[in-house]
Formats: sequence, C-alpha cells, structure tokens
Amino acid sequence: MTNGNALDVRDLYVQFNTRAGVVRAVDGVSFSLKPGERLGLVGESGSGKSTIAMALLRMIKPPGVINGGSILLGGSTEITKVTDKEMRAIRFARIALIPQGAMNSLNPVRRIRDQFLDSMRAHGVKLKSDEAKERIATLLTSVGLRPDVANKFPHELSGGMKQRVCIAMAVSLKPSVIIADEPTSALDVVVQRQIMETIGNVQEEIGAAVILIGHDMGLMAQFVDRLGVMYGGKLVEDGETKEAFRSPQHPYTQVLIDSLPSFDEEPRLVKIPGQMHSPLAPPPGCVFHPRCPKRFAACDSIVPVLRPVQGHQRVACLLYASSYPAQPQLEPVS
Amino acid sequence: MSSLLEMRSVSKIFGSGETATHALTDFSHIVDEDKPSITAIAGESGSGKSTAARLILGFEKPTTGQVLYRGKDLQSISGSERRQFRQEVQAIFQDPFGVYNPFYRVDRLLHTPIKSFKLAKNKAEANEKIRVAMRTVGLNPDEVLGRYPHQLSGGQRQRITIARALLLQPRLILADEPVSMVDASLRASILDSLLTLNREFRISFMYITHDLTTAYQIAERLMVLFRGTLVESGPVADVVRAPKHPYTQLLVSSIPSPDPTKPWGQDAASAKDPAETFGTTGCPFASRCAHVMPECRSTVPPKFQVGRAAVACFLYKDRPLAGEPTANSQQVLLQTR
Repeated sequence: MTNGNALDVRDLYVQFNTRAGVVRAVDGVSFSLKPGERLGLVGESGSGKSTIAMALLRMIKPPGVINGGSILLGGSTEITKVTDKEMRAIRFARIALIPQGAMNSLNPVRRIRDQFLDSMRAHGVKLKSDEAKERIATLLTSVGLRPDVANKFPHELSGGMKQRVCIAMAVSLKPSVIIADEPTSALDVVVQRQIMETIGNVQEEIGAAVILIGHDMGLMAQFVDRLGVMYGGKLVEDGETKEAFRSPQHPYTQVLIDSLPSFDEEPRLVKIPGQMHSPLAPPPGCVFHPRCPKRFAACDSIVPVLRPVQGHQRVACLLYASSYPAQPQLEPVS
Repeated sequence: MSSLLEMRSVSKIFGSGETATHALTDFSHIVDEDKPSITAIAGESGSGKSTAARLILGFEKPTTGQVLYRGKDLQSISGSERRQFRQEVQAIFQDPFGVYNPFYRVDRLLHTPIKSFKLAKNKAEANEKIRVAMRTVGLNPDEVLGRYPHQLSGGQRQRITIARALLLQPRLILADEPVSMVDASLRASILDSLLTLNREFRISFMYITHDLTTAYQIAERLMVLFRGTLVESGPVADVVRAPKHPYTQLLVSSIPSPDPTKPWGQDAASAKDPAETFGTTGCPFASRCAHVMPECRSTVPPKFQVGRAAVACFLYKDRPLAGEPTANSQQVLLQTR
C-alpha cells in the first residue's frame, strides 16, 4: 500500500479553540515528501508553518487540536491515529525535529553525552558504554564538532555549536523525516551557512527528507528542492524552487520574491501592503485578497483551491482559474 | 561643521590579565550635526557592536579613548548637559517586547518622556504630539492608543518605540538591530520609517546590525567589526559590492542569494570553527583567513586606503594609510553618495 513517499499530508486541519474564538491555524493543507527530498515552507508569523511542524510531530497542545486530515509517515503509519506511546517511539526514531532555539532545547545541567544517552535509551538502543561513546563521537564528528564536546555542558558551547549538537541528536536514530524549524534564526550569516551545510551533509548521509521552515527566501533558494508558500493557514503555492523563483505564480509569492534586496541593484524598500488579517476573523474568499495587488471582484467571495498551473507548480489563486465564474481583470504574469 | 557625537580611539576591555576580553579596540567615528547621516555598524555576535552602542549611550565607560558629546567628554559632562544628551541621543532596541511593562497601556511609554522633558504644556498638547509622532511612523493612533503591549503586533510595538524616540526631537538615534525580530514583510516598512526620520527630520542614525542587506538598504556608510576591531569601512555600496577585507568577503559570500541558480560560495574559511580560533596578537581574523601571511600573526594591521574604503589588512600594504576620520573626510565620504 505504500507509494514510496516519506510523508503524505492530506487535507490537514489544525485549530485552536481559544476563549476569543476559533483560530484555524492550518486550514486544509496537502503535500507529499519523497525520500531524501528537501521541502521549504515559507510564510510570515501566523501563516501556520510552525503549526504544521508541530502537527507532524503530533505535539499540538490544547487548546489546539488536529481536527481533520491525515498524516501518513512512510506510507504506513497514520500519525493522527497512533497511540501516545507509539508516537513517543516514532518521534526521534522516524521523524525528528531540529528546533528553533538550540540554546533552550538542551538541558543546562546535564552533559551533552548524557543527553544523547537519554534519547537513545528512551528508544531502546542498548549499547555498552564504550560503544555508546564511540557512537556519540561519530555523531559529533559528522556535524563538525570535536568528540570531547560530549563532556561539556551546554553553557560551555557557542550558539552555533549548540545548534550542531541538536542536529547530531536529531539524526542519531536515522529518522526518515527531519523537520528543521528556523534552525538558524538566532545565528549570524557565516555560522548560518555552516549549519545549513551540516544539515545538508548529514541528511544526505542518512537519506532523510527535510522540511525546512522559515521566512528567509535566500536560505530557501540555497537549500530546498521544493518550496511551499504559506499564507493564513493555507498553502498558496507549491513547486520546484527554481521554478518558484524564476516565475512565481501567486501574487503573494511574487511580492515575497520582489521584496528581496540585491546588492546588484540600487537600494530600495519594497513593502508588502497591509497587515495579515486577525486569525480570529479571516476574510471571505481568498485569505490574501485584502493585501493582494492583483485582486478582482470574485476574490472576496470564491475560495481558490490549489491546482496545477505549469510544470510541477501548484497555485491557489483565481488568476489561474479559467473555470471560475469571473475573469481576471489583469493579465496573468508569464 | 560641528560634531554632535565623536568616538575618539575608544577601547573597551572587560576583565583583566589573561582573561581580559577586548570588546572594542581603537574605534573612532564622528556623527556630524549639520549633515544627517545613516551609518551602519555590522558584525557577528561578539564583534563588539553592542558594546559600541552601550559606549555611545554612556552606559559603559571607555577603558581608553573618549566619547565626546558636542565636544565634551560624556563621562564628565554636567547635569544639564547630560539631560540635553539624553534628549538628543535616543535609542531603539532589538526586542520590541522587552521595552514595555506588560501591566501598563502603551500610552505610558509615550507620555513618560513628555513629562520628564516637559515637552508639552498640557494633556491636550501632549496627546496631539503623540498622535503626530505615531502618524509619522505609519501608525494609526486610534488603533493603538489605549491598548496593552500584548494586544499589538511586533511591528506595531517597534513603531511605537520609534515614535517615542521621535517625540523627543533627537539629533541622533542609535538603532540596535531594530528589525531583526520582525517579519521580512514588516522589515521594509519599518526601515522606511527610519529613512523618513532621517530625511524629513534630519535625524542621524547609527544602525547596528548583523544583516548586511538591511544595512545596504538604508545606510550611507558601513563599518564592519570583527572581534572588536574595525576591519573595513566605507560607502556601503563599495563595501558590499566589492568587499576588500577577507572577513567582509566571507560575510558577503555567506549571505544566501535569493537566486537558486547562484549557489553559495564554498570558502575555505567557512569550514573552520570560529570558537576554536582565538588569536591574541596580530590581526584578529588571521587564524581563519585564507590569505594569512606571517606578519598577520604578529602585528595588528593598520588601516589602508583602498578606493573609498579603509581596510585593516596587510593585503593592501602597498596602499597609502587611511587617515582617522575627521570632519573633512566624513563630508567627502557623504558627498560621494
């Protein structure tokens, strides 16, 4: 019954039932991930990209709840249905997280080695002490750290080194899917490049697929094979990175790419007009229409669905929906 | 011309002896009162850029050298002069959450400076001033006033701190990573507010950042710090388009290009772990530098004039020495843009 995909997400819905009302943080998102593939999810705060990550790990906490859809891991394990005990065994071993704030993810009072041993023991990996030592040394070396880092406490390491420790832990049980949630947002560009190269190397070594979550389009351009653009809890565009940058289809993706600074041009500041809607009161029709430079009459009443446009690109925008009742007022960009 | 603020060979050393940390070494910079400028100070974490900010604001005392405000040493100015300094030199910080007391409405952050500096005769005038300042930075006062910090977005909160600085009609605003915690989509509009203040209100900025792209977008000059040492400075376009110092080259090539067909350069220096390389004498970058020469490890390189940039690197030892920034050289540099 497997289709060979590392991950299949179908019509995923996550909502937060707050006192002020219901927030649909992830609103019907579908995508697949092939083994070894690198997928980027971009979007501004509140777009739902981190909520997807938490849903894939089934770490959504109340008042949040996964209230629809399916997350199929390796073609066989339905993440939304397994028991909590089974899920604990799956995390780390089959789907692992490289967290955003490495400084806050390590236990400050335990040595790095003990933290590795904890995660191994919790997943039933039984090793003799010298075997464990060797295994940890190999893992640390694979992320460009010296083996003696195992003896250190987190406060003795720099931010970049701590992030590497987190990467080594994430790959320690050879998961098939690695989720990296803004893994370099607290680091400067030089260290950022080293960390991304490290993630790329270990990922290729163990053949895992990676989901990189972030808002830095430059990082996405350099790292991922496929790019998914999130807005207001929805996936509005999905396609190969090169195509997405060469000919972005959704007006939001177009503004995102157009606003990127380049040293080759005169300095300019491209502003994305307006602000994201309140998550409690999404606008009718297309969620982006209040800010969209290309909106037309039908945009405030018809919800666009993600459909193929060209090549491998999919886009949720009425500009490309010739079968919808109203015709676009503007020429679609080529 | 008169200098509003001058840093004259400022060094700051924390601790002493073997464990001393040279946070900032021999740093000089002049902010001209008559020519509003935007200077970016860029560097990685630990480069000394925040120490420079704290020295400028008078929070730290220089170990050697002087910070001069209107020609007088900041450490020895009188009470009334200090008061004037506190009004004329304002700061905007990185974290738009940290500056608010969550128990008070945001209005308080704006009324407090008006009261302290007696900027308004009565409540009505104070309110009007606040509304004008908010509109200038792109906020709708009716949407924001009367609210608590947690009810506002990060972008709104950061704009309020800019409005607060503007209320005091400062001559210089020190902006320490003002957009590193806001979304890319809001970044441009906040930077645009800073440009407006610079152009319309003739306020100078010292823009402290680790992000060369935003520095390029708003600054005229760029100063690149590495381990407390100024390694390269010059007109921003010259520095980012044709970086001269190997460290600046590494910084620029590490920026991920938003063009998937232009892959990240693979520099040898990037493979080295910065935490393991701490030189004590000579050029601070020597141990990571691909072009390292014997003299780099023994002697601190002076600044050489390379085009319009000053570069502290022996690769350029055949060039003339760059002069210390004087009122004149600053003007020349500003006019070149």
